[in-house]
Amino acid sequence: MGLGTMVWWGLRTIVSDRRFLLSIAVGMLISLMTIPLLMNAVSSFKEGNLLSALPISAGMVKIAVVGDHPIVSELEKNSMVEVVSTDEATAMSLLDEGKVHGVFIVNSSGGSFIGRGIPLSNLAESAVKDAVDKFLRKDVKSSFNLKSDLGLEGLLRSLLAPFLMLTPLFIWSLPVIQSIAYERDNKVVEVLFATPASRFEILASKILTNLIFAMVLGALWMYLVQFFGLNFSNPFGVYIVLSSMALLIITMNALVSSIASNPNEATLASSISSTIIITMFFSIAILKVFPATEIAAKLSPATYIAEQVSGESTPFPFNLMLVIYIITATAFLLTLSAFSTEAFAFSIKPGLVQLYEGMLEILKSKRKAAFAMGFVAFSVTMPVELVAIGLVFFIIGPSVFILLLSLTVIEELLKAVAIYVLKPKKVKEGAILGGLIGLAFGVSESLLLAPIIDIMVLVRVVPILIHSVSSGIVGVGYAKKQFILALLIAITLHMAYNMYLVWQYR
Amino acid sequence: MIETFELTKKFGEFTAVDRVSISVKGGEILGVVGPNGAGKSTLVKMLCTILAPTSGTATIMGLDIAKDSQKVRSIVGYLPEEPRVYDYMTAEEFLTFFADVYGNGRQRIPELLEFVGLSEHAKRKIGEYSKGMKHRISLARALIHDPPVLILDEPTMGLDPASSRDVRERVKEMRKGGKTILVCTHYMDEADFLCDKLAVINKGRIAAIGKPEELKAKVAKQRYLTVVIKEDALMRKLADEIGGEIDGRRIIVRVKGLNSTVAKVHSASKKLNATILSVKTLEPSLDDVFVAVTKGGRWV
Repeated sequence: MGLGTMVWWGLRTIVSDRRFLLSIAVGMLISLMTIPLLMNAVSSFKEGNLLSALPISAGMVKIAVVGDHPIVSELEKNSMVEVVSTDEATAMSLLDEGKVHGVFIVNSSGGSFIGRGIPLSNLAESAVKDAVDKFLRKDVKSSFNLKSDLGLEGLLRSLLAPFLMLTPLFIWSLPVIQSIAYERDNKVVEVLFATPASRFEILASKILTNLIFAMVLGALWMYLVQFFGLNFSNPFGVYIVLSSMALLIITMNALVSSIASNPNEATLASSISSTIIITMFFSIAILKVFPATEIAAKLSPATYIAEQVSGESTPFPFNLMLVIYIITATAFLLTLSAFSTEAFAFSIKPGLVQLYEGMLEILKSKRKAAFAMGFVAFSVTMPVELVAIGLVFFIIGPSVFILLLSLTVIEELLKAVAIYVLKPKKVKEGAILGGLIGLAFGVSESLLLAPIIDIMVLVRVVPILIHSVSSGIVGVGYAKKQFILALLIAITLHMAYNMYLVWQYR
Repeated sequence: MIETFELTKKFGEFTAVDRVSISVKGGEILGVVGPNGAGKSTLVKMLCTILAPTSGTATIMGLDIAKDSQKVRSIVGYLPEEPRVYDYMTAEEFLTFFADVYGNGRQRIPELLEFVGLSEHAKRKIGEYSKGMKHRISLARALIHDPPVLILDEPTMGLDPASSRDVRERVKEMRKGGKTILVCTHYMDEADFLCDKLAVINKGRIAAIGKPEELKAKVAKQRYLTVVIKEDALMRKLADEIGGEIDGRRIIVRVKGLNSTVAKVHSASKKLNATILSVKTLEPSLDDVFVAVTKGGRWV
């Protein structure tokens, strides 16, 4: 009775806010009007590298060519590439001085490309090198068509789809922020807590209310965009993905609102978290543009939306959806923990330690809390690792060792934070709690990587075991007051396994 | 009926409520009085199951607040210190929402609006109400499901005298209906007017508990006389002579034996040529009880 009633009243409240509904309607109308403009812009892009559409990219890649070769005319067609024809000594001198990004030397076997790792142009350089290599091997139709069977226009159209479908979620997920932050700010939450409705029902009703609202708008939006050229091969699949993303963002907004100091801070913080989520998934989807990184794009549900628009027949990403639901469930648990804190009962912002105490109050078991913390650590790891990957490529370059080391350190550190919060007192307790954290983390990671690591299930058990063991070591180390040493051992063990994998599958 | 046994609440090292044992029968009003920060609101929140106790037990109508918290919340009407309302709802919508959450009470809305004197304003948004009106709609909300137990935390705080009297009258009416009522207040005249029994709480502990007359009698074990003389200039000398203290325009002297003390006062006045205007025994009020119990020592 309580849950249904509160959802009904929540929807009534949203629907009675005419100003909010009007702003959504206007936003949707404006977005619909811009779709044809964007599609026209896409059509006017020249065939070639995606970046060639941008005026700033003209002459972004400078190549020195020594000798005469048909690739020169191919390179010159691409506005992103500036060709300097010269002799070998001058070319190598230009390369050493950093004035060109690479030298193509024509020889009896066709040619060879010598590149130079200059930051900023790494991606462009690798694309050029890739195209040159393929040209030499003669296994592509055209040097710089990034996805030649699709065509650039089709590819860009399909990338626009997730952008157009996901960004309205910013607005559709706002009601939950106001609901929680407002009730805490004016302390109505106290009288709600004094009703027979449980804290679970109160929180679930707020999230469900916003989800229903977002799903109705999502269905309407999907219906409308098809009149403007966005058609989906599997509309039901896209709708599930869109609704799942909405649920994730709404739940994250609920979490942020529960721990913010006031409604203004809640709105700001929720905007930031929504931006991070959408940007993260969209950025991963963009990787589909480049052949070298296409496989990594499968880590984003936005890619599925893009593929549906492009007409590709791709399976529904069940594993990925499971990961999204795990992260959503984790965020829900943390929000419920906030609702269960004593600070919340006094309408005060709960701290992180109190969040953990709230979680213990719900789960009633330190071991269950440890398992849940493993999922929390995993959820936080994803955006942090994405930033780390970008920084490593930007600052150092494509170094596998540095990349793996940074990811390993991030993962072990975040799991160690979970152990630090749990504060195991005995060695056995530390081992068990650490092991549980690692287990949850490993399971989530395996689910996430399943689409891109095509290996036997049995082999996937090993990474889960490594995570459990390494976190168990840190747990034991905490109990024995040798936390740092244990962390270093865990990082070493984990890194050793990663390097073994690289060596094994090189 | 409300019963607590050694109910305790700690926040870290700080003990907000310390082994509180109280009992309230059906049809009775218990006043919990104490200074700010004494632990009244924390006690109330535990009884409403908003906060979990650290130790001790409490039952409401035989239901344990820890084990049967949901059932307890369905039979308790809670009025918090400040009105907690949805400003964007009308009074009618507000009561309808809570009636739906409690699962009953919609049919009582017109009667409740009448009871709190807001029938004419039922269709106005609560955000437009005055503070007194918000208090009254809050009271109606606490009564929506006709709970047998009412817990009221500072029900007249911040209200003007007319509104305060109004709320007190309504609370007394509810007691006639057989409800068990616990009122937290630091207005002693309100406690005196409303309550059948008082529990004085100080620093989380019950410092005194009993009927108002019993508490006054306890405190009044130590009696005092007040002496007022015409000559202000002689007050200090007279006070020194009789072993009393000056309190404004009067001298207060502890009574060791009533007759002997009165005789001593007269004798000292005569000696100093002071004109006595009045000699009275001082009866403690509940305010005096409060001060004596919470601050210790004399009640004057």
